[in-house]
Amino acid sequence: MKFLRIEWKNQIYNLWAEKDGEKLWIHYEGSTWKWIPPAKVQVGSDSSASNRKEIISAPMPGRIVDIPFQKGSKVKKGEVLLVLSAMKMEYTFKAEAEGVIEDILCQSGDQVEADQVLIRMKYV
Amino acid sequence: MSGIKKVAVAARGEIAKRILSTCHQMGLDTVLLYASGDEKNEAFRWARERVCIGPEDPRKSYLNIQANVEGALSAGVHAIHPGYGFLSESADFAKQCEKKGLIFIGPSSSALALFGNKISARSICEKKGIPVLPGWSGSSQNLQTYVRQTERIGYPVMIKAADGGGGRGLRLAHNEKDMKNLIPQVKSEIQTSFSNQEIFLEKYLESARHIEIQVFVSADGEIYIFGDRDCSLQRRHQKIIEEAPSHLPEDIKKRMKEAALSLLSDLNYKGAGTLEFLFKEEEFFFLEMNTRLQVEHTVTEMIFGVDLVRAQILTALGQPAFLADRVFTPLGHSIQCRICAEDPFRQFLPAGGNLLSCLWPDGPGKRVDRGFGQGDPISSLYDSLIAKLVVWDISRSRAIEKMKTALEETIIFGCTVNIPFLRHILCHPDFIENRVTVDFVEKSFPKGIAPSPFPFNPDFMNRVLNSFKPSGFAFNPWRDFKDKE
Repeated sequence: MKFLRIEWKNQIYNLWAEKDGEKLWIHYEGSTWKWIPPAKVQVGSDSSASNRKEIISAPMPGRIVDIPFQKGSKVKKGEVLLVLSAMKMEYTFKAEAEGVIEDILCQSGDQVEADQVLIRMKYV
Repeated sequence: MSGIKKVAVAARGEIAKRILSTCHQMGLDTVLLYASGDEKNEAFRWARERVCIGPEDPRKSYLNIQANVEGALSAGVHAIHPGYGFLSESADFAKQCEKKGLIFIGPSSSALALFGNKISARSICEKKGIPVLPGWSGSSQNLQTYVRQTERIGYPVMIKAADGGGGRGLRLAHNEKDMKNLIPQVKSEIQTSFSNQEIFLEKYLESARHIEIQVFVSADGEIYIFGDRDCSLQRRHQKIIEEAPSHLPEDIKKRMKEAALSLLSDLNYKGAGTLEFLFKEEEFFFLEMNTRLQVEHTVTEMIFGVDLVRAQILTALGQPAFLADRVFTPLGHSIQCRICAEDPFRQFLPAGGNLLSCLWPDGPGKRVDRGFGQGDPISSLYDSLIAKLVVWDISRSRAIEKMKTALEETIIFGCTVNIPFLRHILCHPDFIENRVTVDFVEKSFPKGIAPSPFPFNPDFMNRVLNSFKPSGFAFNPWRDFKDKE
């Protein structure tokens, strides 16, 4: 962690920073940000035109507790697609709209890593 | 010290480190019972000895009674401190320790069994005239039984695991549909966490405050009441900010203390304990009795000037827990914030990772109980508590100001933490004016909070990035040396 005093457009900014690979962690006036250089920001499934996540990936490492449906199942909006247990709490992923489960890439009981793709959906 | 020379700590994270410190201060040797993969944290570094008791999966290590007892015996300890969580309230664990001649630092196994089962704790209270909420208990496999009983009690109803704790195995049902969804969920959650599969139902008191009374019973049976704490600030039944004392009317506090005395009077209970109550509109109801140190014991320690872990160890030794002439009078106000690895901008998703670097606050009246430091991983296998920030000041408003500053001075890089959320709460009028009830977070911050806009443009950030590049003009003795040759 580095303390930096940066003069910018006739003003002095005091901040704490640390490099984390390509990213930078910044602490300024009591708040902390993780900054990713603009060129590295990936345009992923999050910003797809429909704005629905068709890929369900693990937001954090955890264990799969339940996958109530099978590959190819038709689901309605709000139905539970997957239950993940992490840090002793359970997290439920629900269908964002009516659709079909295109693929299931994990099994109940699996230990999964952060960002691992778990389910691929095709929404109607 | 006679009787105990070496203590095993059967806990992890901040509480393990906190217990180790008190042991060392008392001249006791320590042994940390840890799971493999859990070697990078403060407790591991500070313990005098370490014994691995099993793999990462807590069910095979931290929750494994035999592994803990064998680990302690192999290190030749005299006593075990179970911290909180894991086996701290396990009557079986206490019994196994007793059998093997190890002192379990906590109440007897029979007291643990009595209060560990929330159904039996409730019935003792009913017998002693301590108010409890309407409820029903049983272990039916039939969903319809739960639904029928709930209709009798009236919605909303809290579904609880008989052996639950720490916010786990706990769900709120508003209607029959909720019941049908949640009963299986609770069953699945308790299957992985608790041995007792019994469930009970309890009327849910909406917009109540969570108030608790800290008790301590010394070896000679004297009951000390260390005031009350307000732990209403919760999210999904996990406490976030706790403080002492609460601001309840004095007559209510007095009645709660009387309830605590009556509950413990003829039970042969020893050591630390906490009675949890719900308070609403001049009425209070007993929720449960926790037979261990609580995460928030710190705020009580701050206003009373006691070390409850020290008192626990002395009591386990059969020695007086406190100096004979001590009169306990609380002074000032204390607040604790739990720093957790969760993302307040993404609906509090757990945000494990590595602590790249951290800076902690210090100064008068500030205390940091932390389990992790620079370079340590925050594993998703365990709970997300990284550290507890505790402040003391002469009044509540001064304590709030001190906490705000302490949070500003806390810098954690590498892992997203809930500090921005804590800062939002500390500035919220309901918190400042002491109107927080247990549903405050769900009502006032249903979606967490929005991140504050990033203040710098890319050009400015390139300047920051450049400051991490090695300077081309730096003096390099090896290069200069070579040139001269």
